[in-house]
Amino acid sequence: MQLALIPFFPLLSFVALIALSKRLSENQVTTIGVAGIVLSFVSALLALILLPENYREILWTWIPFYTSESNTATIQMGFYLDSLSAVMLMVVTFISSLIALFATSYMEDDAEIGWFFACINLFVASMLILVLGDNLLVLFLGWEGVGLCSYLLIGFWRNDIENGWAAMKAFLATRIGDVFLLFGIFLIFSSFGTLSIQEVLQLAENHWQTGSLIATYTALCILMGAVGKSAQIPLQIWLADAMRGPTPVSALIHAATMVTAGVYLIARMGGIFELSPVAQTAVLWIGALTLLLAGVAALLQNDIKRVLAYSTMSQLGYMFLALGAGAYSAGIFHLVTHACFKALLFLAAGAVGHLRGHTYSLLKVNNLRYEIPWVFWAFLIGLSSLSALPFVTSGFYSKELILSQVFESSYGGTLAWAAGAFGALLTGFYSFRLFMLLFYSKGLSDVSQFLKKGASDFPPLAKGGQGGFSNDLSWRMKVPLGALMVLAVIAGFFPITQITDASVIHFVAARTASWPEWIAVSLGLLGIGIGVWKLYPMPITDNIWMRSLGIEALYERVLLSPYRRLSYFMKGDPIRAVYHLGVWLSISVQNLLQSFQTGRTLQYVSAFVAAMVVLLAFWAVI
Amino acid sequence: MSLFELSILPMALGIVLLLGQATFFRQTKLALAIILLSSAVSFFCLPDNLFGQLVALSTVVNALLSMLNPPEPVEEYGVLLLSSSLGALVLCQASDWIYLFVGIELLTLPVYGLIAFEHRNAQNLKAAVKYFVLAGLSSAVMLLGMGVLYAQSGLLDLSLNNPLGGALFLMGVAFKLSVAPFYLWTPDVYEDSPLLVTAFLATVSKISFASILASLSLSLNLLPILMLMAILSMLVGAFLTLKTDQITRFLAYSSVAHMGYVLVAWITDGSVLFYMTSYVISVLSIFAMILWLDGEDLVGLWGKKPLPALFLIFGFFSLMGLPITPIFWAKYRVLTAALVGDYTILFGTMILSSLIAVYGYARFITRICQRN
Repeated sequence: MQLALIPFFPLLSFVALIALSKRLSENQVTTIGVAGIVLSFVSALLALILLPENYREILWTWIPFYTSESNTATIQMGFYLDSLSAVMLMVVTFISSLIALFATSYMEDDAEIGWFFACINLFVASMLILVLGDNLLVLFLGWEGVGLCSYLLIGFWRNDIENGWAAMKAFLATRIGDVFLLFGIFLIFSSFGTLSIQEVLQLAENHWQTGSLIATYTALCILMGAVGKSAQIPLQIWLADAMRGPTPVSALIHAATMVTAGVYLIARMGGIFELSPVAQTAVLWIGALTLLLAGVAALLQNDIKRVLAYSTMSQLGYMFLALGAGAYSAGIFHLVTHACFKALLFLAAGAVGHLRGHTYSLLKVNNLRYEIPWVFWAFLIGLSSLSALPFVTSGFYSKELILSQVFESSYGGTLAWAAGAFGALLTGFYSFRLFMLLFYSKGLSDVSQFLKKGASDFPPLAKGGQGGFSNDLSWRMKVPLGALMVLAVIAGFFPITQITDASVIHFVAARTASWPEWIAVSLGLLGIGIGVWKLYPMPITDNIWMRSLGIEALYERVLLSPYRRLSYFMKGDPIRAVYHLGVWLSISVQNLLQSFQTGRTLQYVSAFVAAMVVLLAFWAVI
Repeated sequence: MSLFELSILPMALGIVLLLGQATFFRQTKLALAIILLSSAVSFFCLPDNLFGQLVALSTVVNALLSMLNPPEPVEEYGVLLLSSSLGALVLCQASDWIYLFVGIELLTLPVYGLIAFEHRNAQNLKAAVKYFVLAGLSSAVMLLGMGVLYAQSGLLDLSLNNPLGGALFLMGVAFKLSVAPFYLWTPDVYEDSPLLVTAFLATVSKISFASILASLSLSLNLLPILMLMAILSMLVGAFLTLKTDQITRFLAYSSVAHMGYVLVAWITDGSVLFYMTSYVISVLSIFAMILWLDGEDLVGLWGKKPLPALFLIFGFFSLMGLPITPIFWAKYRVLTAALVGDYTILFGTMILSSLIAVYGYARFITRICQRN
């Protein structure tokens, strides 16, 4: 029961909120909403301390199959705790607790706050089921659950139809990946007759040959699932638009936890990827490509949350790069540190939005240095960690670890390493471009000069004190920000469990700095330098980078627009037309027959005789 | 005294008594009692003729219903009613063409009088004339058929050994059963006759003509024409029920469809009785309730008078063929027989027809249950 308790609390609070939120006050709603997640964190902590390594817990037999008399396969509702799921467990529950606390302040006075916290709790429960699932079907249950919550929360403010489109886009894009993942699960089940992950990995190692076709297909299908969830090329289109949801949602789902599910999945099924060099290489290059392209895209955004969204894709690209090179622990390590500093950044952005009327445009919100100090420090620490400022940030350790391991890996090599190192330069550049624009640009004048025209399109927001915008953050925002600031610095220093023992101690002890590392570090610093020095406004209104290299247009044509047209078509319920035809036919026939009922005796007599003659003639012909 | 004579004795006695009473002293209650008693006693004098018993039972119900609002003068009414029923009993037990024809005429002729019983009512007169002309035509056709049959075989026993004669005779019967395409008179006559007479036409007349079908054996070369009539009847009846609001007219159309099912029953396994019995039960429950309500609006009846509404709904559900109602079992049996006998077309048409007609019955039920 210990493991089941972890997702049970958020699930319980989801049910309670759905059932009761109309009758509860806002305080009660937020209390229930946060309590579910915090209790889940506490029970996760207890489970880590008390339970033995590789602990399996079977709750009940979920789906029994009887393939033949002798051969029975069952799918069991079970959870499994090993070091990998332990790391994910801690990340998910701890970050969710902080973000839920933040959201109580961010969402206050929202009419549907009960629904919001219900969704957040359902999300956390699903994510925990995903992470703890002992077999692929349980994992898939969580996988679909987080997808659903993502959809619900992106479109949370449903008064704006654009939010609905963005939610649908995210749902459809990840759905493509989900279908592939399902195919992967089918392939595994048809090969081994079981879906228990540990058994599958064991069997695959024993029965599948390295480089065999089935291993490659399976691994590629799983990879597509991961690519969809983690917004990697070619299914990256949805993440930037997903930023339309409330900012705590962006922080939780679209930065810290759900999007890392793809990384988790590949790490979990690593045994199968190792059997297929093709798939392994594909993971590597998808990661490399995404980290570069998303880095460039992040450079050209003029919306805080979109910069952070592309940065998330880019950092997930680093994790894929690590996984592709076989450096699983480095990838997961980066997942952890990234979750901390990216959640920090999003929450800081959320604080800005909260104090500035939900405006995230860099053209309107800027020069905040002395207005909201908390946000300044949060951004400074978060962005430093993101651009891997040497030695003092957690991002530095994880990223350097990835780059050095990629360099040494047989799959990676110099080229992949170079992509990663150049990505570090881009990261520094876009991070500090954002930083300078947000805190040091002298109001709109820089930007409007650059634009030369249309300055009136971007009227500056009234500044604090004058236009009525407050600069005070409540303690419920300060506590999560503070905690995450500390974590963004120190998360890299201490091993959480042995899987992340590639921490600073490991780094210093096991590795003497070699030239690739020096180059990577200096490239990162160079990027930061460019960002700070250039103070490059670059307000991009419309260009190909903002629209993901035209891939977005392709999806629009191939997927979204046909889907929408189909939905519009189905909205009219075309099958009903068949029934309408039946009704129309019946009424017409009845009208025709009714017209014979003239009520005149003589006509009836003629009809009688005529009918007799016709019947006899018919009979004679037959 | 033979069994046949015994069976018609009570009704004949009833007629004589009523005539005597009309001559010497008129007494409404006594007349009603005589009608009721003679038809009830005749039920027990028909030990092994189920059609006859059904006829007697329907007459009893009719006599009971006439007590609600006795027609004036009731003695004459009783004479006509009893002679018509007497004709029906003769028809049910007929063993040769002569008896059959006498029975048919004895059944039909008093009905004209019954329809036009209130002879100052123009509607009733119109219906009577219409029925008289058309029924006369059909009797002529029937008689022609019998003549051909007799000329062919020289025998009077009931067999359709000559195809042409058989066809002509069956068309005449089809008219009386209001089977398409000879159904045109039905709605008009049903609508314009007094309700009591309509109830009589819809039950006694239908039962006795169906009993002719049961006593005849089907000859194979008549099958196409019968099947065509059955199919037409089922479809036409179902379609016509869809938009009819006047209830007797509606029941007329519904009877067209149901007589189609009866034909199917006869073609597939010859068991007309079961279907007729359940049909008569359902239709009588509706007629009884309409008479009971005496012209009251059906809309929202459930709220005002639940008991009659319940019987009406039962009747409509049964006509619809809803499971556990009498006609459901009858239909079920017919459909099974059609499937077993490989009459796929009849089977399909019957299903389709039942399906279409559901709407018509449901309209009445929703109207009864409507809140206002």
